[in-house]
Amino acid sequence: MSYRAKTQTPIIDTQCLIEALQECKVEYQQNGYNVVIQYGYRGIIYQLQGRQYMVEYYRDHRDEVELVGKIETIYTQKYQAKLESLRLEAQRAEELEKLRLQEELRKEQERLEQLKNEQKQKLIAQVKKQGYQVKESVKNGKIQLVCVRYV
Amino acid sequence: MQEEKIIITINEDGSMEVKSEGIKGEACINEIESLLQDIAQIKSGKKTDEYYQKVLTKNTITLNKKH
Repeated sequence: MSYRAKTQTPIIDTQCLIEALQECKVEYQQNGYNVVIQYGYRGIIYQLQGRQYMVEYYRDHRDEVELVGKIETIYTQKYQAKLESLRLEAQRAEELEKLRLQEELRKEQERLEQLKNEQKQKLIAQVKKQGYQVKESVKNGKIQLVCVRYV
Repeated sequence: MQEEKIIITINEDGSMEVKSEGIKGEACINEIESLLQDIAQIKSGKKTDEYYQKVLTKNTITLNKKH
């Protein structure tokens, strides 16, 4: 004796289900089975070897729906692939946003450096005009100008 | 000959600190103001004890960039 427990697949994505049904329809028909799919007002009805199944649209995903064998497998694969694709898309968007912010920061720092440099050049010109000799040094990101004159 | 010194520090954020040493009396403030008039706006100034002595030896001013 064996015991097999399996939970049924909750249907969240109707598009994935339609694709799975279409794919299975071709394969079942190739193997001589009769498959009919109808898209009704309330849901998708499909018949396999005379037995009728229905999956309702907009079904609350907490409900569980019985899907027949291969259809369930293909649906699950498609849905997992869709989730993965969405996850990758979100990751890419996040990376792009990060790169955009880094670029913005780099430009801002560049602009600040340019302003500081212009300010320094103006100061050097002015102190020289006032008769000072200038010695420049950089320490911990700070620029120091030591200006000396003898009177 | 007497040495007059102005020490300018440009901080990372672009603000500056200017310190004078060995410049007598009010001249030290005039000297710094004349140096910075077209470059930056003075935000605050601090006169050290030495400023009030007959011969000024040290004075410090903190300033902002001129936009």
